[in-house]
This record gives sequence, C-alpha cells and structure tokens, in this order.
Amino acid sequence: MRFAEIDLFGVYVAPISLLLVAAWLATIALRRAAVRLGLLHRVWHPALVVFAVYVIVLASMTLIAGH
Amino acid sequence: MTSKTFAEGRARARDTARCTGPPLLFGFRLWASVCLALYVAFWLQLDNAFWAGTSAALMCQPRLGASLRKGWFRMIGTLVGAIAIVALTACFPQDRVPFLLGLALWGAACAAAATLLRNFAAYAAALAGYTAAIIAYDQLGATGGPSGDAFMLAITRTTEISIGIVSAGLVLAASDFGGAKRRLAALFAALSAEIVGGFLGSFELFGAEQREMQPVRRELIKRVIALDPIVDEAIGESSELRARSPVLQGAIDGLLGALASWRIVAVHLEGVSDHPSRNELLRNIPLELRAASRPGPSSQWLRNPVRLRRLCEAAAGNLSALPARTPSLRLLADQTAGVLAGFSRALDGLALLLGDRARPLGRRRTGPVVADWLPSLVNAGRAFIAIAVVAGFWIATAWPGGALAMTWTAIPVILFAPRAGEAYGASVGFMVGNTLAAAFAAVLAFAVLPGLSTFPGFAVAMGLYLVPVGALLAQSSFTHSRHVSIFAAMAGNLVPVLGPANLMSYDTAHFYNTALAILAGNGAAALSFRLVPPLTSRFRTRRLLMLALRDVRAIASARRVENPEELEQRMYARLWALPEEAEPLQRGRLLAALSVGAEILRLRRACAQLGLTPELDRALAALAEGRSTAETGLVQLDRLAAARDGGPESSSVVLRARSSVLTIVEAITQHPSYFGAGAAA
Repeated sequence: MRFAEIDLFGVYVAPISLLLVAAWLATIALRRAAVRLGLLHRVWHPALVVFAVYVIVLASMTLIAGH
Repeated sequence: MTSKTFAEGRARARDTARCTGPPLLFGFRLWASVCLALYVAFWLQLDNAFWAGTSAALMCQPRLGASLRKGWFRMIGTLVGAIAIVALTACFPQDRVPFLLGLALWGAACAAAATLLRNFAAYAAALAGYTAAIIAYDQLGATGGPSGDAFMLAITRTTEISIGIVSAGLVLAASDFGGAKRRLAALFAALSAEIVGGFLGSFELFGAEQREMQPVRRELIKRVIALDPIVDEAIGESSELRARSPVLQGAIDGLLGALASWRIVAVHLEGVSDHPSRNELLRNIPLELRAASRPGPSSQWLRNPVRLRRLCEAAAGNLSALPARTPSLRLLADQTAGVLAGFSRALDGLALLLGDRARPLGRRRTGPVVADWLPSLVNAGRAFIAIAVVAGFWIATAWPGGALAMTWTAIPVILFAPRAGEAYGASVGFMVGNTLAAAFAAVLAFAVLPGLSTFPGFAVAMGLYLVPVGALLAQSSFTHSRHVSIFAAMAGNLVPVLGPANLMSYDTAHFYNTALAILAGNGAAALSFRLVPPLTSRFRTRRLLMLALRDVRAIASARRVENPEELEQRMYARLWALPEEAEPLQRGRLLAALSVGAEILRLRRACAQLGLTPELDRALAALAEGRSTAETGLVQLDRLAAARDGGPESSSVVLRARSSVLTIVEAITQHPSYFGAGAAA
C-alpha cells in the first residue's frame, strides 16, 4: 500500500481526509437510492445502517486507492 | 412628490435602524469583549491566551441578564471541571486507558446532570464536563497518557476563563443597562390579568361553553412555564433578586397553583346549569382584582401589587372561612381561595420586581426534584460511548489530532444533550458554524494577520469578522431562528481555531490538522446523536404522564405518604419537563393528576378525623388499580361521610371531605382514559 499527502491549493492534506469526503458523497447517493426503493423503511435503525454503509464504502475506497 | 419620497425614505431608514440597531450593537459588544479579554491575556503573557477571548465570546448573550448569569455559571462549571480533571489525573498517573475511561465517565455524569438541571445550571454542568476534556487535551501527548501537568493547566485555564468572563462582564455591564426585570414584571402582570379574566369568566359560562375555555387554560400553563428562563435572566441582572430568587420561583408556582384551582372550578361548573351561590362567591373577590383582569402597562398589577396582594390574602381567608351549606359551595369557595392564594404568591414576586424590598427572602426548596431519570441516563450513555469510541480510535490509529478530536466530540455531545429532539440539528449547526469559522480563520491567519504587527491592527481584523457574526447571532436569537447554533459556533469558535498568541506562527499544516480534528470531533458528536437518538418527545410525554399517574396511585394506595408541597413540586417538575411539542390536553392531565393527588391527601386527613380511614382505603383501592369502579367507591364514601354530619365542628370536616371526593370524581370523569390507563380489566 502507498499513500502520499495530496497538495490541495498549497496545503498538504492527508489522503484519508479526501477519501472520507468521497465516501460520504457516495453514501449520500446510496442512501437516496435506498430511500427511493423503500429499503431504509425496512430496517430497525436506519441511521446505524447508513453509518455501516459509510464504513464499508470508506474501507473499500481505501483498499482500492492502496492498490 | 419629492417631500413625500423623502419622508418615506426617512421612515424606511428609521425602521431599518430599529431592526438592525440592537443586533449591530451586540456585534460591537462581542468584539469589544473578545479584544479586551485577549489584550489582558496577552499583557499577562499567558500560555493559551486564546481561551480568554473564547470565554468572552461564549459568555456574550444578546441579553445582559443572560450574559451575567451565564458568566457566573461558567465560572462554577470551569472550577468544577478543573478540580475533576486534577483528581482524575491524580487517580491514574501514567495510565492512559483508565484515565480516558474516567474522562468518558465524567463526561457522561455531566451530560446526565445537564439534562436534569435547568437553564444556566445545566450549562454549568455541561461546562464542567468539557472543561475536563479541554484540560485533558492540553496534558495528553500524541498517543495519550496524562503527563502530570494537570494542576498547572487547570489553574491556567481557570485564570484565562475568568479573564474572559470579567472582560465580557465589564463591557456588557458598561454598555447595556438591561431590562429583564421590567420585561418579567410586564409578563407576570399580563399572565395574571389573563388568568383572572379567564377565572372570573368561568362563573359566567356553563356546560359546553365552559369546555371551550380548556385550550385557553392549557395554553396559559405553557406560557407560565416559559417564564422560568426569564426569571433566570432577571436574577442575572440583579444581586438583590438573586438573594430572593425563591420568591420569584414561588410566583411561578403561585400562577400554576391558580391555574390548577381554576381547572377544578371550571370542571365543577361544567356540570351545573347555574350555581345558586355564584354571586355569594363573586362578592368575596375584591373589586380591585376584578378590575385587574385588563392587561396593560398601567394595570392594577403593576400599579400597586402590595395592596392587591393584601386584598387577595384577606379574600382567600374569608373564602376559606365562608360557611358553606353544600359540598359544591365548599369546593368552589376553597378553590377560589386557592386561586387567590396563588395570585398572592405571584404578587409577592411582582412586588419584588417593582422594587419592594420589604419582601421576605422566601424559603428555598429542599432539593432538586427529578421529573424523569431516563432521558438523562440515555444522554449519559451516549456521551460515554462517543467520548470512549473517539479516544479508542485515537489510541488505535495514533492520529496526532485524536486528543483534540476527542475534546471537540465531548463539547457538543455534552452541551446539546439536554436539547433532546433538537440536539442533532444543533450539533450539525455547530459543525457547520465551526467549518465556516475555520474557513474565516484560515483567511485571517494566512492572508490578513501576517501583514499586521500591532494589537489595534489585529483588533480591527477581528472586528471585520466578529461584528457582523455577532449581529447575525443576535438577530437569529431575537427571531428564535434555527440558525442560532451556526452563528453561536461562528462567534465563539473563531478564536480557538485561529489560536492568536503574542508570537504568532503561521503553520499551514498545524492549522489544517487542528481544523480537521475539530470537524472530525463535531462530526462524531453529530453521528452519536443519530446512532443513539434522544427519546422522542411523544415517548417522554407519555412517560411523564405515567409517572405522575403512578404517584397518584401510590398516594391512593397509601404506599407513599407525603406532604402536599412535595407532591406539588414533583408535579411542577414534570410540567417543566414536558416537551414543547406536548399537546395542551397532556398538560391538562398533569394538572388533573396534581389536583387528584392533593385532594387524596386532604381527604385522608379528613377521613382520619371522621374515623372513615378503612372506608377510604376501600374506596381508593379501585383508583389505585385503575379500575373503572373508582367512582362508585368514592360516591359510597361520600354517603358515609354525609351520615357523620352531626354538629357544627364535624360539619366543616364533613363538607371538606365531601368537596374533596367531588373534586376527585370530577377529575376522573373528565380524564377516564388517563386515570384508567393500565388497569387489569
């Protein structure tokens, strides 16, 4: 795995911070789709499910970015 | 045409000045407070001078009384938090896991206390929690483990916070003369006038017309409860009021007592077409009080409250001694006396607000009454989990910003815990406000401040941000906008993000890491409110009503022996704890539960005198079990009591017992589903 700091307008930021934002945007899209399909109404704790999906998306993105 | 346009322009300018003047003035006060605090801290060459500026910004409130009161409680909260972290460090030196768990437990305890307390006392409890986290951050290294500097750090932090409080207090007290006392007096007078008007009006209404007044009465309960934070503000403005604060609390209790008695009178009159003794009762109500049902600045309430109070007391005494022939008249006379006794307590408070220094100091309550433990336990659990998880994440990842993230998780998760349903929105607003503050801090730190080398230049740069943000905060606070938490975070948290110091260092990486840790901490706190949500307002309301009913049943079954005052305090605490969204009917039910509980206590005393205790226990057994036969048992008791009427002395006791039975039966009939809830069958 290799991660290098990213130059953002002259400021070197940790790559995880950009991955956090990207995973969040992807989770928003997935959540909207889940709401439209009525999936979120079928779960016990929607917020917990969305958070779990966010962790999965973030972990997947980190793995992909690392290879 | 030109002169007309000119006049219109002037009127518009006047309106604009009236609307924007007070918020802008607050913006300037905020700016002056922060600059004064920072100047003093720089002059004293303190290590983290920015905490003084932050403290000044956080203490500034658009109302003077609220600011000064918040300042006092801020001082108390900081001291308690500082002592707690020193003790925690002493207990676990060089031992990071128990130390961090202890910190999470302390945060949880403070979140619970903040939920149980009200107004600025709740703020002090929250502050005690996150002050410990802030000092812990200062002494923890990159991977945790207390360094042992807690004592000195606690002293520094307390000194800096105190400088901020004193600076803001000086600026606010010198530029704002307050008006909470006047405002509170006007509100007391207006509410009292409305209650008198409604109460007197209930003697003119019968049957269905009487029922139409129910929503008005229930709305008045809500408005009386809303006086509590304004009382706190008024106390903040005057040390004299602080010493006599039980009188003001008694005034609110008095208005609630008047509403409870009015409810009993109205429910009783609902069932009769025309009461024969109506005029006899009205004759005993002072003419001045009848004239005081008109609200307004020149009302009787504000003109001479001491005289009106004396009249109310005398009239209440006359009504209690009124020779009654029937239980119905006894009930009406006693409850009208109850209304007047409530007004006399309200007038006590009003007289104090209008400068009557002859008032007694008032009796303090024995201790805080807990309406319901569950919301505080949920908030404590959430605070513990959130702080412990972020601390665990920090230890596991060895992230250098972890300690700061933990501190900024503790702040919103403890601070917003008492706001229940609004907590998530407030914590998101707080995060948005901090993001904006971080962006502006970046502009100031890297584009503006490097070109400035003097304090006046720095102050002007701060003013460009603080004055408009302060004005927006005041405007959103006056209009009760939901953006208050955004502007409050923007106003209060620019200084800690910017971290101004005598010798500024412009390190972009450090700034970025600080901002990221703050936002990550805020995000974790907001997430915790989603994953461990507060109890819904519906559930809390249902619980409070059931707890009140359980109290009534415990009194009915004689499992609990208590005095009417204790019961009153417990029921009022539940009324206060009712969520804003609670329906008026639910407030009415709580008041009915109070009336039933109080009447059972009275009935028990009367029945003991009449030798009817076993009969009373039998009659109340059905009520204690929620059975629908409760009414029948009480009617039988009424007959037995009537049979004991054998002379002038026993007659008074019998009539009082029968009027209590009547009150209980009418309350049960009015709310059958409530008093019968949870019955076996």
